[in-house]
Amino acid sequence: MALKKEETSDDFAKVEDNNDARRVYAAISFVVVLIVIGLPLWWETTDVYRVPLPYSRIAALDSLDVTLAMNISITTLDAARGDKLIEDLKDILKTSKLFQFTFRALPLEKKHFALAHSPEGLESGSFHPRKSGELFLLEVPGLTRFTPNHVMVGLKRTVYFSSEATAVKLSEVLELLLLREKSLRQMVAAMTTPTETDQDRSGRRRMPAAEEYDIMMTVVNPEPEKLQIDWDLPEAVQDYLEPFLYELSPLAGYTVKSQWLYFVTLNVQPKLVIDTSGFGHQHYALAEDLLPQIITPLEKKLASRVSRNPCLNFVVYIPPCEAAPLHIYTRQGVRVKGGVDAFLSPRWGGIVIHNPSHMVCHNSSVPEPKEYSPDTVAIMGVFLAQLRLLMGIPELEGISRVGQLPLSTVSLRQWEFDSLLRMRTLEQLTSAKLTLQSLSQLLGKISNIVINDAVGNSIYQVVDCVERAAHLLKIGQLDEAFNESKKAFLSAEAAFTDPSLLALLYFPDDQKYAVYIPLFLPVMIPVVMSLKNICAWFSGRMCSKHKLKKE
Amino acid sequence: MRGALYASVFISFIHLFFSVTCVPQNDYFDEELLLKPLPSGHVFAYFQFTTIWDLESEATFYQHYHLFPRALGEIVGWYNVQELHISLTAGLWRYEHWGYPVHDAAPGAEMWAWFKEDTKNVDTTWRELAGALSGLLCASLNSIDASNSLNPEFTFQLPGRVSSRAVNSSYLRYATLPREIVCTENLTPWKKLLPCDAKKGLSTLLNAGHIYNTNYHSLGIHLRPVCRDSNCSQISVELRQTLSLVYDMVILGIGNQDFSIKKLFGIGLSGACPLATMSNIYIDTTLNETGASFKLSPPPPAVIASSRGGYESKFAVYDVKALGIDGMFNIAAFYSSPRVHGVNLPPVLYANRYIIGYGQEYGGIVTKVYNGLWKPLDVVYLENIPWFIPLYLHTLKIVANGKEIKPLLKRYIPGKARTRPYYLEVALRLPARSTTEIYIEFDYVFLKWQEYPPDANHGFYIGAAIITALLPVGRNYTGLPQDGSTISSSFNASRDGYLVQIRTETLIITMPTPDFSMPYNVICLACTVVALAFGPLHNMTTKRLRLKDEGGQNHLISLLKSAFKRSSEKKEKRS
Repeated sequence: MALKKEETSDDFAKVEDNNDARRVYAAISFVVVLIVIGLPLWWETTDVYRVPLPYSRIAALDSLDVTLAMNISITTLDAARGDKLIEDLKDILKTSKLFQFTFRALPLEKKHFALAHSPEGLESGSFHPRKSGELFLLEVPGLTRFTPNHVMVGLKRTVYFSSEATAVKLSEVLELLLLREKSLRQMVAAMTTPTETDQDRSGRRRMPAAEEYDIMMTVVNPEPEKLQIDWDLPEAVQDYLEPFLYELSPLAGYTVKSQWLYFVTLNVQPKLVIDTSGFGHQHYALAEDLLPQIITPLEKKLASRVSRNPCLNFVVYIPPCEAAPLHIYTRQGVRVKGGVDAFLSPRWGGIVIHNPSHMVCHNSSVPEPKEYSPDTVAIMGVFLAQLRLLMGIPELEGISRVGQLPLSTVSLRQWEFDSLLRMRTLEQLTSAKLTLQSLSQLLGKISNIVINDAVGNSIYQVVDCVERAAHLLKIGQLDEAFNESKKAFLSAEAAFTDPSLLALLYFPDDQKYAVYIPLFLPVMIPVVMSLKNICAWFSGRMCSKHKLKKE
Repeated sequence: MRGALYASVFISFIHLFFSVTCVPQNDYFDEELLLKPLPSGHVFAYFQFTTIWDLESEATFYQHYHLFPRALGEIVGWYNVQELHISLTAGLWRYEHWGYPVHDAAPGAEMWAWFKEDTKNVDTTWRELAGALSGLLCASLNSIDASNSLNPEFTFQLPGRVSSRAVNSSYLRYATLPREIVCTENLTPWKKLLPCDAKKGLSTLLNAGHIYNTNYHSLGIHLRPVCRDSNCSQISVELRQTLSLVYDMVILGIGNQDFSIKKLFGIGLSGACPLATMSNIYIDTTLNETGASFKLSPPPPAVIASSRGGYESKFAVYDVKALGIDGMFNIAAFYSSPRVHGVNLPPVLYANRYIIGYGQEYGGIVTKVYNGLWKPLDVVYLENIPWFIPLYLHTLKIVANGKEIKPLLKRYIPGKARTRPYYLEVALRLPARSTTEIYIEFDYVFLKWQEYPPDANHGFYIGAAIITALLPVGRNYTGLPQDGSTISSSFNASRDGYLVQIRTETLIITMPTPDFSMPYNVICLACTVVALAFGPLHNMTTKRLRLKDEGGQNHLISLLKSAFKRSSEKKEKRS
């Protein structure tokens, strides 16, 4: 204190100034360490890792122009009629929003008629387009010899028409059978705005796109002590299902499995009907309304514990002799048409009720268990038809005077396959696009989602593939476009469902602050307050320097 | 009697023949129940459901199912499993009093599997397999991974070997979960794997209420490849679903030792499973001759005398299919005198173990192995110690009848925190009529706070050790022979050796357990200390201490002083 009173000398003021400077430097170093270095470091180390994503490109996918190029070749007897047909078709089909048609008149060649003795003969010709997505319209002058129809749709990519067929009829065939533009557009609309539009009938029925499907055949025998089923299921699968699945294999993979279930009952009580007609005296009626109740008790025996693929279930139910024959009745109280007791559950599979024959059941000379071999052709035929529907090959509505060649050695027509390819491509593209958009929306909303490099890469891949697929569709490369869209779809699904996304989801912000605040608040307040002193000191120095200069 | 036996054998042959000819399927299902009164007065009930599946080719493996459970088959096929053994057990099998069970099982859950030799990443596959099976059986097998799995070199070599070539134990994984509690939620999915479910046949006897009041129960699933013929050109898959139960008749029987199907399982039997080729009930009547005698009602249609490893036993055989059951069927055993226990002849090899040491610093495990045989016996001892209990190999001491012996072989892989357990496998030659003590020391360690299980103060389990031996005699032995699948194959099955894999007790130790609110307390405390330290430090370095003029200070102090004075004056006045 005594010292202080004497401090008037210049020397002492200098020391004091120096001390002041030192204190300010100390304060500055605190600021530097805590705010300039500490804060960014903390931010950097606790930040959620997220690869920068192409948000603008994802948003741009919304307005992605998806048009499918269609190359259609037409051959007519008379070149002028051909040109006229092309003009008319162009005129009718120009309203199409999805397709871009390119018509081409091909000159008539001998090879077209060398085999024209029958429709089957035409089928074996070498003029059919090879590339998927293309079509060939061929005028066959004597078509009326084989069929009353004006237009015949072949098994490959060729449509035969007679000289009487008009452009209107041909455009109808193209729209309703081959291209199915309405259905495609409805599917896309239903996927983008599921609350407003619904899928059409075939869309509701078919399985959603997947990389691989499991096909599960199940034979249900509720009372094996009374009825023994003699059926080689693996062989039936190999003979009937595998060829069809082989034809479908470019679309997706398939695994076929089979199992037998015993002592599984229907859990519904069919009604006994006494009928006077026919040789049977009575049968049991299963109301259509009860059918969904059959599936539920079966479900627990059908699930797989390891496979992640969507599963198509095909169930053969063989009622015991006491409850046979069992028939399905419609709501109107009549037996189902065609005498086939089978039904299809959309996106799930099909069930066939196969009654043991009267001969086996009522033969009292044979002791129990009675042996019965089911009719493989009947059962597998129904399953094949159901499988076609479930895989997305629609039942086609009839057009007057238009016929189709019946399926014989092949179970899938080439143009059906093309149409399936188009549908799946569009479905996968739309799905990939929607998945990415919802992912980017989610990322905007929840800041805790981690996007690691692998997920980031697959998101980039999706965007690339979608753009490439759209381009390929535009130039008419259906096969490649499908492959790209599949890649996009699978990558999008993988990115969206990657478990690493959720790594930090359950670490809420308030917890973070609860831990940091006891440390940061008491430390930061003096440091922030010292900023004022630093500023004051600096401005003071500036002033004194000014004064010095002025002096 | 012998005629009746032949008749029943003939009948079962007919059944076999019949099913082979008229069903195009290539799998067979047998159900069997063995009831064995034990000398201690307990009754041992053993159910075995055997499915044998003749697989045609590798390509169609596990694709088309008939009697084999698809739920299990898909898992086995998917994860490339060659052989799989799971047991879920509650209670401890008392070897000394009960003899040997058909299947040895450690308390809690135990699982081991051999993978096929083209399996790429065995550790990952093993973890995923355990996860899938955990879902199938509603057990916590999903906590099995590389950190609690071993691949023992000797112990599991024998069962289910179809090829004679040298086996590589790197495709084997073994794990136990001694803390697993087994109950009805495991029994229900296990029953669903049976072709007749619980709707027909012997499986209708499995009612949770009467199974979980036993002294010991053990569910098992044993899958292994077996040879279809003597030169092993074709392979079949054998699945045995087993259930071992030990009933305490002192609790169940009211004043007497009588037992019956109805008394044990709550209901009678309504018939055989129609899908089964064989559906038999065996009752061991050997004790009838030496201990308390009992009469069976109805009298057995056939009695089989079995001579095995020099020991004779007798079994009453009921062929459920041939009985022609109408309504409910019951088999009862009536004792002539109430509660007479037979002389208990302990089996030739048994073991027990316990913990020694004091405090939470030094601990030791002692395993006592008893060899009652007249000649030395070779055994393999497998120790399975979790990674958080560090063992000291140098403390391993093996003392037989007071004399230290050297092991024949020793395999040791030290554990590594959080990645692998301690693995110790020792081959020993036990001297004749000896008690051998295997002694090893361990340490107690601290774990990370997140590694403690819920209810950490309950303690930590050490899994059972396994002692494997090939016994030269068949006394007290009920196990199936290597080449047999069904209980019936164990009759008159004299072999060179009888494989036993004795499981010891599981142990429980108390680890140093912290207070679990500690981490947050530490954070708060540390933050406060840092904040308290930082404030003055910051003030001292950045602020100048400047004296205020004295007047102000004096004023404050005088104010305080006067206030103090006033209050003390008040006090004085009151007093």
